[in-house]
Amino acid sequence: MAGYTPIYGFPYPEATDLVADYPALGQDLAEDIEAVLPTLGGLSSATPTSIANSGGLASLSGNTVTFTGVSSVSLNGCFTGDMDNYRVMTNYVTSTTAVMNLRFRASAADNTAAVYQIRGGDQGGFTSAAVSDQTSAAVATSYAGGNTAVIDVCNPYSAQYTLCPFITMGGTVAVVALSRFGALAHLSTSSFDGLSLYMASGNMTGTVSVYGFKK
Amino acid sequence: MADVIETDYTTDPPTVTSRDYTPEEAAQLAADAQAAADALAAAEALEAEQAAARQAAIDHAKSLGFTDAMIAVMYPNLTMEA
Repeated sequence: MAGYTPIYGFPYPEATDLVADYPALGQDLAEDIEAVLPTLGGLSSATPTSIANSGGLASLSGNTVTFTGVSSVSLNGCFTGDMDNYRVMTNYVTSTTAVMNLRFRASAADNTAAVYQIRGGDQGGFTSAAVSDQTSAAVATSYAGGNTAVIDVCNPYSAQYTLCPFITMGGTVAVVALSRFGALAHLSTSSFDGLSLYMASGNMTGTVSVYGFKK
Repeated sequence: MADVIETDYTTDPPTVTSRDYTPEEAAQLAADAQAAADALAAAEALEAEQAAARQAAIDHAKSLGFTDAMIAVMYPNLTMEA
């Protein structure tokens, strides 16, 4: 007779169980884990249904898009009604020092409404930390040495403002680590299922992953 | 060579299509490029203006008899002459 764990009730063999019963117990355990995993809260993968890129190459594996030499990379279908909030993480290098911009997407098309707002600050780099009514969001000054961006995207899919606390940083040996941090808002109630990252000039190589905050 | 490569991962194997920019995308790209050029020019103009102001401040301080060391202590954020 199998024993059961106290919290999730996963079965396990007890000393008196016949070895011949182990395969069935193992199957029960595997099926229980498979049923429980999707219900657990915390970060979970948010996988795009399709991607697009201009220039270079891009491919998807799991929730991560790997791109090489692209001027833009777009993710579609990664924001859904299943979760409210998401984290976008990207690590990349650029061919030249330039701004990386973000646009939200719906139905595989960028939203270029002039309602992107940024408030925040910079350490080095650009001095215009606060900008309003833009057609995109300049989230990072990017360098050939290396860059990372962590962007929390809140309520992209629901009919609310899409609000994003973010921090990005990058640098080279010459300019060390520069950062941009703050708040990005898309002041519309449009629903978005994806986003685009694109360079103001040059191209970029790296990865971008999307995770959802599961309740 | 096509401008945009799209890969649909809802099919097995994934469906890859390529296309040129739509007129709207091409217009937006041109607008983005112009905006980026304008922003760069504005940043360079601001930097030049600030550099001139820093140099004028240093020159004025020196005309009053302050040395580089004194200026560095009084105004640590003021860039010194090379």
